[in-house]
Amino acid sequence: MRAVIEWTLRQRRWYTTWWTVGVSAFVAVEIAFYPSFKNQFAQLNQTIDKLPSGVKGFLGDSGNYFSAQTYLNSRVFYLVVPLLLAILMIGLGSALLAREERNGTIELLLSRPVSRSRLLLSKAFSGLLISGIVALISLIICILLSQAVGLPNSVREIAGAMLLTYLLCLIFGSFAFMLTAIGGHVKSSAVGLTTFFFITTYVLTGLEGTASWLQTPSKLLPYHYFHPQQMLDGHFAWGTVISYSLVSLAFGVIAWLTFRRRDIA
Amino acid sequence: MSQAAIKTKKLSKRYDHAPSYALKDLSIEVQPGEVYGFLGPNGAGKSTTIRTLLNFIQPTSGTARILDLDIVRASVKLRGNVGYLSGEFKLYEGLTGQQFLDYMGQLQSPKSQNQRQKLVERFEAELHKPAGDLSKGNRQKLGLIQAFMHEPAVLILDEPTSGLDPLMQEAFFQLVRESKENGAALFISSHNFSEVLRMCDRVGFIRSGELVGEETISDLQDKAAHSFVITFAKTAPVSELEQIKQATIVSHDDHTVRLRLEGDLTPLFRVLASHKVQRLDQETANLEEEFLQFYEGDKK
Repeated sequence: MRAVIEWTLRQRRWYTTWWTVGVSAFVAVEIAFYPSFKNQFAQLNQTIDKLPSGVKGFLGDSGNYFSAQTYLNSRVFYLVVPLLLAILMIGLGSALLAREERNGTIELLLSRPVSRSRLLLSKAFSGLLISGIVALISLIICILLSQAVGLPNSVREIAGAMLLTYLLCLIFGSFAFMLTAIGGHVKSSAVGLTTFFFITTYVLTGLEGTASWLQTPSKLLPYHYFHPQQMLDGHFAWGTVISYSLVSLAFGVIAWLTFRRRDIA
Repeated sequence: MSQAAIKTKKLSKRYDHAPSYALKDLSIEVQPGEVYGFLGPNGAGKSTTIRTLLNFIQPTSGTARILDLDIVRASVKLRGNVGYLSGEFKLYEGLTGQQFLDYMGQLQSPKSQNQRQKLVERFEAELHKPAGDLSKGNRQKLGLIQAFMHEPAVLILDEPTSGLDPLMQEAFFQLVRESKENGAALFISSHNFSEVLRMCDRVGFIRSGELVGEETISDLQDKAAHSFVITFAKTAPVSELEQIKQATIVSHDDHTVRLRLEGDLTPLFRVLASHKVQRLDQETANLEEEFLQFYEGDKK
């Protein structure tokens, strides 16, 4: 198991590096602009308030979009970092196992005394490590720069928001991973189906404020419970953290149940 | 007889939604120290058999054991003593040969550290280039090294000499002989008749998913040796020759008959004794003809 993880990380070292650079750079740029923005918060909020409520639903979960307390939420954690991490995790989830199968190299691994369960677990763990490295370094950059520019959020609050964001995206990554483990037609559609799942959950949650009939179905979607501002306000959302983790775990269990018995293409 | 290294019993595989079986009721045994050639046309079920034995695909029915371990229930344990080379051997494009063998070695520790180095020297393998830059032959060498380097008791090889030059083929045949002498059982899928003749003790022929024949190489050679070209002084007694059981007239003209005969030669000579025979030639063994008959479905 250790060998598979080591070699997977080694093969993806540049991928990990560039994703880390990309996400961290985005976070750094957004926070670096805080001093320029902070004198224009009132003006920016007035502009936002003029937008239709349906549009505002897509920008964040806090009523006050621009303030020292909500800056990280609206500029970093509500949309763009989840989007970037979701792309990363969907890419990893749909490739870690499927690429071995598509390239025929999975036979090299499974002709050794390596069980399918261990292979699956190794690949899942590799994905967690790669995405974890990207999120962790982005978090460190976020904390350091937030303190440097004078944002009021504590380390614990920022870490909580990043954890929630990471776990939200992990749902999509583990969903893609599950589809590739199931195999067959869904394997080749893993990226498309998961992207559709991600966009749908984001759009429906954004619209639920304007269409009352969406409020019940949107409760089934992970974005509905995604409130990083609560974390940034110091209210640690244990329930959401545990729920998100359990959903990802459930996808992992389904992946395991199907992959250990199915035919390798 | 010692316990079979590979034993299948009515092993069958039918893919989901497929109208027919890809593999049907395959029952074979391969003994330790035996080289078993597995022959058949493309799509006959050779790869399905191999992939089932390695538990890449699940059998629909039947059972198979390798080293007395069930291929499904004990697949992880048995693979510790199996070497495998895929027919479409793939490498990690970004890894060098050295890195690739290191990786495979970490997944399955070799019994002796020297074995890998000996194989690298034997096959003159290129270890320092990324796999993406290697020729087909050099990739195949790495495939053979990774299959043999942990000195397994069972080797399952699909088209093992594909892409190898004649010198490297010779090195491979030598390796097969040594493995056999050390008691390994080798299950080799191939299309190359001369290769099968040089390596194998026994061959099985598969067609449309079913085993249609199984022969030792020496039996095949015996059968193939009984082909005669007979030239008679007068009109050839074709009708009399046709009466001989086990004889098949391959072709004839007024004076010459080409026939194949299996088993006892006495009935042939009894006929010849009553005619003036100008010339009797025994054709050289033509095993390819034997093989082709299985391939083309003339033999069952």
